[in-house]
Amino acid sequence: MMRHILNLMRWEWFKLRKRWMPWIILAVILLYTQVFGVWSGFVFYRMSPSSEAYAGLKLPQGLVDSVTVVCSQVGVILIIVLTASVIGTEYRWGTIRPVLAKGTGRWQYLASKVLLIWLLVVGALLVVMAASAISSLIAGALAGGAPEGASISARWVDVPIAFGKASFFLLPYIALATFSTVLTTSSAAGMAISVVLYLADTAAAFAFLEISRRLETAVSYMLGWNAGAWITMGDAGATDAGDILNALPSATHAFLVLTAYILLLGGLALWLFQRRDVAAK
Amino acid sequence: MDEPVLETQALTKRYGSLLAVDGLSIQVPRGGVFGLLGPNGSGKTTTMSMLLGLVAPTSGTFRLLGHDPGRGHREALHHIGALVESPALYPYLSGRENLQYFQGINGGGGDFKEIDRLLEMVGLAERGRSLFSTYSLGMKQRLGIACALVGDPTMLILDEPTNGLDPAGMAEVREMIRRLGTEGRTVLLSSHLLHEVEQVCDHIAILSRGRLIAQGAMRDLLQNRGAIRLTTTDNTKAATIISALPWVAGVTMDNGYLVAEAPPERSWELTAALSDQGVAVKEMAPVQVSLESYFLEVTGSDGDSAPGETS
Repeated sequence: MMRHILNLMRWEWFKLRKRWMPWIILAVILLYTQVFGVWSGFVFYRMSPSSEAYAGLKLPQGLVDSVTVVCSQVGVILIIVLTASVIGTEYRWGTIRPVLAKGTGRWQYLASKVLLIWLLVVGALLVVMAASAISSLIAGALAGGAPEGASISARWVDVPIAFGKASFFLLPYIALATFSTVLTTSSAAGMAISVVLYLADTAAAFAFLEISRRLETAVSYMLGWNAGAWITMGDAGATDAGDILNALPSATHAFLVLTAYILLLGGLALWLFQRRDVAAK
Repeated sequence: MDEPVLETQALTKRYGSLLAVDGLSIQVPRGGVFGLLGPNGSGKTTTMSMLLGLVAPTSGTFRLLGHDPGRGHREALHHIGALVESPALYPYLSGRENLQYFQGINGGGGDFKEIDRLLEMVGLAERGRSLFSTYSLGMKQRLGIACALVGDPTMLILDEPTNGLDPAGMAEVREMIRRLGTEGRTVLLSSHLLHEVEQVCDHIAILSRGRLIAQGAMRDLLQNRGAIRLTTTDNTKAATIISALPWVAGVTMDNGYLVAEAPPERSWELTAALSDQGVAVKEMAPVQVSLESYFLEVTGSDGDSAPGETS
């Protein structure tokens, strides 16, 4: 069974690498992380030198910052676009019919797509980290000597932790986009629903907390809130960014809630895909 | 006798209040070309979609290549090539890459000789490296057939395979289907054109409003509806003699000829009966019913399409 899924993943990659979209998305992520990560930090440091800004230009802090930028800013929307497009175009072009008619196996086919997208996320993060390492070395050299009192805040051991957290962070959003696209059988509708839910979920969490602290329990089970908690390194108690951020759940709680979202949304998508008729174009 | 490659039992598909396929029971024998014929909305495509696991039957069951729909159905599908409705392939891949992909997911990636052979077979060897999106409808249709043939399947399910082809292309595809049917494969074909089915099919099933109207070997179905045209030394006496035969459905006069509604293979019995009564036969010829007239006869008022065509 696993061999069959791996074979399907291989041939999904054969198709996907010939499309423009994944390469454009990778280029956007690279550009974004370099411009708004390392190099904006460099400009900021040159305007007003500080020990915190200096730390961001050096390794390994630059690497940790780059994956955090991907996840907390453009990453979610881009992964939703990629997932919805990879799944939705099969419906739009009608290619889902000849593929399934070959005895591919429904859940195996969808699982191979989702696993491949996740592998691409992992690959993209590695590329971003490699580019950020080079940028950090250059920016660090251009910045010159360390200002007085500067200390490197991240350790090298934080790099694989940040990488692992970032890889996991995007999984519930892949599951969300997969479910929305399978439900609507359309790339555009899948993207729209997922992006709206992502933005609304994040905004709603803040709004609920502003309205009443009694809604804190409900908020602690919302996707965006837990994703935010997961990607910030360490537990909520470690942050000093104000009352609302102090309400972030622990990393363990966030991990469990995100896992539940992955299983729920992924399971629903597979169930729907497995039992639904595949109508003509 | 060989087990049929396909056997459906009371296969039914309902979409809300619409009964798309209504208790369909057909048997497709091994080898040859089996035609699924019927007017608009008769359930041909829905039937094919159920066989390919794209649409779940509401009730009823089927056995495909010896496998039931549940377990083993996927295994059966590995040995089936299909083209259902319009050819749907990846527009950003070339014809060759599309074939490579379908070969790969079927577990046999990398056989470039097979790809070359299939492209040659459907006349796309020159355009194999062009993107699918640049193909004409006819070329897309031919690539769809090539895709169905990937992995050398034992059975082909082709829904309107000559759609969009020019007359020369249609003739080529018909010839190809005929050849595939005689190479030991079984081809299940639904066609837009009655004369096409008449040319390539050995067996047919006629559907109307989701129901099976008739099925069997084409020759048997048409022969049972045949007639014998003759002229004798005494047509009046001959008409009386022939009318008395229990296996003759009726006798009419047509331009000085008698037309007996009887199976043509019993013409020797007719000659013998007339000869016994002293009437000599001067001329005799079988009258074959065309598939078109047979189709219109059995579907009655359902035949809402143009003569010679169903869709």
